[in-house]
Amino acid sequence: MKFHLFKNLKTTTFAIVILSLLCFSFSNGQSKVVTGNVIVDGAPLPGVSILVKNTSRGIYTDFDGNYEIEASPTDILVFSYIGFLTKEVLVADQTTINITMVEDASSLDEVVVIGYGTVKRKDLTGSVSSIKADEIEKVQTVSFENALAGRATGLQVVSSEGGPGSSSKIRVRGGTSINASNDPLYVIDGFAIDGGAQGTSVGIGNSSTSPLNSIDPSTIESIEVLKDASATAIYGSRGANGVIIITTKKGKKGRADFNYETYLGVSSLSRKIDLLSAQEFVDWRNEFTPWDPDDPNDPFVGAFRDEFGNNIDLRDPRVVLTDWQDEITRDAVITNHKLSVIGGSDKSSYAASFSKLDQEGIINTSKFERYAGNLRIDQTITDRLKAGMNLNVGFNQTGGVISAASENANGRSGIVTNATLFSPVQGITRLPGAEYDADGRLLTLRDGDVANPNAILENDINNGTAQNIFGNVYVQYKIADGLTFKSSLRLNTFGGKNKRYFSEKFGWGGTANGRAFVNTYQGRGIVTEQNLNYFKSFGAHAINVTAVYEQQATSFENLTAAATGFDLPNVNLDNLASATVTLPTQSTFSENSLRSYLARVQYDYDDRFVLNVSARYDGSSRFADDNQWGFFPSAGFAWKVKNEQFLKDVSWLNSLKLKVSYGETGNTAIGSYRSLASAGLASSIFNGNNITTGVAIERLSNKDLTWETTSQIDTGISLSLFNNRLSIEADYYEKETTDLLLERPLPSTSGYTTAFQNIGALSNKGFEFALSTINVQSDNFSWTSDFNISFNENEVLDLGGANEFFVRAIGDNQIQDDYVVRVGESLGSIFGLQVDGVYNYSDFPAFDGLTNAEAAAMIYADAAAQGVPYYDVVYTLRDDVVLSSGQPNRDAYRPGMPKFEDQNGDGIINSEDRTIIGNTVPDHFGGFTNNFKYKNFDFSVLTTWSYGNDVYNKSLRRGTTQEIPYFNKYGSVRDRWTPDNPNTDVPVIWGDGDAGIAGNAYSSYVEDGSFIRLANITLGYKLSNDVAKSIGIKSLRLYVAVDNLYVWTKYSGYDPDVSVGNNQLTPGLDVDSYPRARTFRMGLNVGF
Amino acid sequence: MKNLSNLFLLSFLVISMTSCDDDYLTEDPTNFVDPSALLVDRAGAETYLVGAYDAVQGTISSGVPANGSGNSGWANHWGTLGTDEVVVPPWGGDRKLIYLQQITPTNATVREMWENMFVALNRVNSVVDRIGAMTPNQIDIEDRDNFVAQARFLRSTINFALVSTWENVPLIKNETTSLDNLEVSQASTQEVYDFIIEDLQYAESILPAEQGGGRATKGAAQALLGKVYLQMTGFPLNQTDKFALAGSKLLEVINSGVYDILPNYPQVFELDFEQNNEMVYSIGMDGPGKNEGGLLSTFYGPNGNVNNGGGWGTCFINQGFEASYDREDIRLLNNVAKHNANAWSPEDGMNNPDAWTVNINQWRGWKWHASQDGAYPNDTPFDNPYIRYADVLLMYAEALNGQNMLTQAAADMTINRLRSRARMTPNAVPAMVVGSQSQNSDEILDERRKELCFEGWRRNDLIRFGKYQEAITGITQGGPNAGDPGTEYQDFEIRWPIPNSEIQINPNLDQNPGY
Repeated sequence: MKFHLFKNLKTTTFAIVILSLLCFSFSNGQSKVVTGNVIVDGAPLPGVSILVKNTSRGIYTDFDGNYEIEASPTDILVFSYIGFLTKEVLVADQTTINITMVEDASSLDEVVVIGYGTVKRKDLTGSVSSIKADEIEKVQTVSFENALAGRATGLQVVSSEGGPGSSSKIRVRGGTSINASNDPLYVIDGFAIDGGAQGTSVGIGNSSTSPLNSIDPSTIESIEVLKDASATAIYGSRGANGVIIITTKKGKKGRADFNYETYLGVSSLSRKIDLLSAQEFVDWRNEFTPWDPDDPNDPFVGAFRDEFGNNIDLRDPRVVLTDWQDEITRDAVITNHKLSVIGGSDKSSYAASFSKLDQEGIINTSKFERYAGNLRIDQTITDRLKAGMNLNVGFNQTGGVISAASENANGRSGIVTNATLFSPVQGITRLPGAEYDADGRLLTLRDGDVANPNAILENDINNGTAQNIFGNVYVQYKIADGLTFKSSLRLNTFGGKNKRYFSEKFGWGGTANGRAFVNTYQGRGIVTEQNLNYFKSFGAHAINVTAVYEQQATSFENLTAAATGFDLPNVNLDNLASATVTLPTQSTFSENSLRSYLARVQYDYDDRFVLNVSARYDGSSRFADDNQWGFFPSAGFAWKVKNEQFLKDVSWLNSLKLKVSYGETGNTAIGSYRSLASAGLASSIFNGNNITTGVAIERLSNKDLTWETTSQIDTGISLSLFNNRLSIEADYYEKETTDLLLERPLPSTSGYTTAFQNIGALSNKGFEFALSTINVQSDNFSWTSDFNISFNENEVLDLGGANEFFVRAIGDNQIQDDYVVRVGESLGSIFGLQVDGVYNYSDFPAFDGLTNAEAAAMIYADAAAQGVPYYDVVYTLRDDVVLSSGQPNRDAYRPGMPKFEDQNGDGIINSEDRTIIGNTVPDHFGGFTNNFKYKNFDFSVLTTWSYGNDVYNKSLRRGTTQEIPYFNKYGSVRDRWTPDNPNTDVPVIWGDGDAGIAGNAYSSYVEDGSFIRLANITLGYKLSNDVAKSIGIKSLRLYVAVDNLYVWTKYSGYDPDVSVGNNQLTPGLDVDSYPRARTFRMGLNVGF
Repeated sequence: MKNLSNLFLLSFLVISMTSCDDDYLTEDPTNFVDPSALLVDRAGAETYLVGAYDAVQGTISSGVPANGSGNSGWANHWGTLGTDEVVVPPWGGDRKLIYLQQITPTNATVREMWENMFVALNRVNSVVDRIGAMTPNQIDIEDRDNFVAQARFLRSTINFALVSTWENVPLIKNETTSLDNLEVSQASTQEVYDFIIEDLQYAESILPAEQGGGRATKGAAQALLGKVYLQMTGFPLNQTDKFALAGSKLLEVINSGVYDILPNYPQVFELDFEQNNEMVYSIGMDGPGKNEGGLLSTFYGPNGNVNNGGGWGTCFINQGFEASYDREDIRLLNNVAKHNANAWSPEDGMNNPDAWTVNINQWRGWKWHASQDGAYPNDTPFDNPYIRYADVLLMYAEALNGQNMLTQAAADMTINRLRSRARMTPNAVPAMVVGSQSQNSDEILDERRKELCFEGWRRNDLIRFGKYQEAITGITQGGPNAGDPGTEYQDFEIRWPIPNSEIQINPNLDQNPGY
């Protein structure tokens, strides 16, 4: 049980600061001087607030933890510090009072950043998850997103294509939109930036990076995830997808605290994809083209045979064997250094840090480097005036090869596709359609379709740089008691450059003598915020009012240049003028602005009831005059039941709070200019090759467009029991998004196939549960656990009259539609043909009455008689067996051809038999963290999981197809249908080619993506303070950690935690994703 | 007081950076234009007119994927696939369904073509309406009428494609300017043809007689008018009185003296001879990398890597078609590829029998020969011939024969001119001797395939001659596992189904019978 000095009073730490600063000079006549020392874990704790209860007199401990205060014997001193249990001590006759502070496990006193202000967790009416610096620091992740995974309820973090520096998809309580963004709003030190991942691809890549990856996570003081409307409505038209508030570290009162942090890690490939071994591939290949003694010169026949038709011996020195996954991956080194200083005096505080991260990717040549610096200064100028500024600067550099490619064929695949498909064997004879280099090394296969991965690594270039700067200055003035005005100006600029070169030596680049792409982009945002805060308590009532005027203008521009034909060795990207062909330069520019008025009133009665009402009035440039302004209200109510009289004496119950909230938020995250009529570029050619500029009408003006609205109701309970040993937070929510911005299909006879309109609706419902326990707490040993689980159900309610529309995922370019957005289903539904095994002996009258062995013998005999391979002998299918439109002739079937489910029962399978074949939304996901502490050792284990989600492994399309002889195959092909192996679902050689239905996804590409991951294990040792002091330092911690130690999953690709591409309508897509690493790290933190 | 002045100073700094003007929330785009701001003078009108050419470039031709208009050009998907020029292998996707006569109302290509054509039609209508409404102080009336005439020619190409393919289509005469009343009904076939004729007669009366270099001209309008009249003689209108109208219109083209056939057949399709005198109207394309490319030479192209000048391999030559050529017909060598582009240059592929090593099932159509150097996969520079003078000559012979007036002299001036151009040795490719009306008709149809293959008219030709079913039933072989379309064909499939998606959102549309 905590003591509340400022009962009904405290809502912000800021209030304490002001009050204590202003009032400590008043003194009491009967007083004496009390001194003492405050420690935690044996170390002095500076900055602890000491207040004389029921007065406004107070002081802080100095940097050695000492304090001195005047007090009378009847006074009660209140010692408080954020994150620690508050202590109250009666002065009586003591003149020295030494205090040991104890960490507050329940964290109810912790201060939570809620946007335009802060609140104590115990007074929260909304649903907000917090991740604090110590959690982030202990694990020391490379990216901000990794720090979030598994740590908070309702927050799903999924990797994108997975390479170093790549982004993650983050969803707060499910996606609320179809066409507008589903990314949460990120607020970095008050600066709101829309969206998450930015596509950084030029050429054929499909990589994306997060604008946040220039931020060093160790500079973050706290991350708050605002989930329900009571919390997010203050962000109005941008709050529908949740808000993630990132607050960087600021200075603390006390002696300058220097810290040096470093770690060194080694990453390696955590799982390999199961492919055919070299011998298995050769066996498959030779089965594909049986030996024809009459045609010994056919190069197809000679591929992996000697001149006598014998299969080659792979030990033959002329044969080159390569395991390409081993060949392209490495033990990659990651190093990080950071120097920081934090300190301050009564009037000023400062924090500064600089860090450098150098991360090698596990694929050779890929890398991510980050330089991050930040500086924050706060200064109290007078009693009433305070000012400050902070600056975060990040620069990063990526390099390597393309992993996720948007096309994945015709020599335009990413490195992983090349590594899985490229032949593991280079035989004795030269293959048709293949390229070889001067040394006779096999360079490309199948007319340049896939290339030697080593050649790609050696010759192709894929580099990028990015910089991101956030700056913020503010002045704050106390107008009167409880009334404060704060004015802030914030600036964000970011930019970058990406360069891709496809070598002139082979493949796609080779056909144009080298292809170069250079892209630069630049964006900026300016925000001004005028914030008026009033805080007053009288009797049992306390009121806190915030009123804000804010405006934000952002712009983005982009320029891409491309050229082909490079004759000078090693001169390409950095001198495009040397190209023989210059391709058209492309540029874009867009800007938008937002003007807002917002207010929040928090009313607290008797520390029992809290009512929080907020409203925001937003005007967005994205919409036409009449629809520019929108109103977003919310109300939240919390009842702190424990503080009721009837529970006062229930000692096992430490806190119990019930809350309910309702509110509305919006989503304007669509492109600029969508409400305006436009005529777009439509040039044509005359006289053979004269380009003549033209324009043509392409969009009607649409003045009715407005934002999407999400209304959300949330009810929750938080309680803590048994001396805070057990804390529970549970929330149930329902949110419904209406006025979805959708492309409404129009009769195309109008000249427009769609019009963007506010139609449609979708819902998310879910339950979140978090449990924190202190399992063991003794002087030397403690064990705490944090468990969280989230359930979210997403359903498309209305598509404006349409029942469904289809979405094509990137990757294999033959498949047309692989995802569907359909009323009654969730977003992320995979769409295609349901595979029903293969046609087998029993489907053919010809095999009636035969055993499998006899049937096999018959096929071999017929094949010999016809002089064709066994897989070219056809039979007539039974009349009642479904036909594939891929082979419309019933008498041209053979066992082992793929068979599909006839959804519409018309007896023939075609694209009309497509159905939903998988769902990428998990049933539940979560994390489980265990922290142990023994003397100076700390040990933590983080486990994360996702259950019930499917992954669309589109790589299988090419990886399992058995029509292309030159490519290696996935391991599942081992179990292919042969006359002797009829009990299988894996088609026969040429099966898909003959009976497959081109252009469709098959359910055999959909896999269960459930997993449990041992995400991080960290073991640390902290030098005791005495020892540290004796060697002249303040503190020292050593640790070893493993990231991604093990994943339990049935998934056959690299990792089921994957979502390649920037399309939010194709989640759970794996095509050509970057292999996942397991990383061992050791680190050192030293404080001076 | 000092504190207060500090405060005001700082606040002033912050607030002064806050833009408070009323335009703060007004968008002012700089990457596209509003048409009404453009159409104020001649230059603006000309720019807007080019947009109409672009609309046709992507739809009526063999398709312009680089423009994002989809891989569904009318010339190849309607005009060639599903005829007896090519066969489509199992991996051909929708093309295979077109070839196998398995089209359903949900076929994606059918939908895409329908959509693209009506989008193009609206763009062209917008040009006709908006330029037509310009005032004399904005543009000379002569220029205005000329621009409108060009646009009306372009509009007729779209309407002709629509009515040929679906037969029962709405007749949209104006630009859509609001989202109301979009549920249009179909017009009669006759009404659509009448509108096409009206547009072409207007264009003919305004436009100058010249080779237009890719622009609409008097000759183009007249030649298309002749083609349209001819098409009206066959299914479904069967108006044989149109033979005479066609004949006289085509004769005007012949007598104009503007056009001639090139002496050398392969030259007609060479990159250096685009917009030659044989091109009555040829749709301009250029590439690669200019967003103006087409698909000729990849849609049809030899074996081998597309980057080496090979084709996609999604359609192969119908062996029966290959066999119909005289062995020493230059058009056989130019139009059928039996070599691999990775190993052989286009010259060798055409002329060197050592290069013809490819298995008979892998022979491909090949008319526009991409060179190995600077090849242009999926983004090719070849202009797409729409009406060639050779076509005009053959149509003229057909118009005469339709009136039973084809003389030997007329045949010599038309068909035999083309045969003599195709002849590689003196005794090859015998000249046509005029016979009975139906014999002549068969010969003209056969000659059209040899001369005009892959230019997108085969399906219309077969329908007009009443030979569609016979032709596709005749395909019994060729290509890798291509299958046999004849077994599936039913009479109603002579026209395509209205896309299901259209009928769903517009209840006023009736599905074509049979689907």
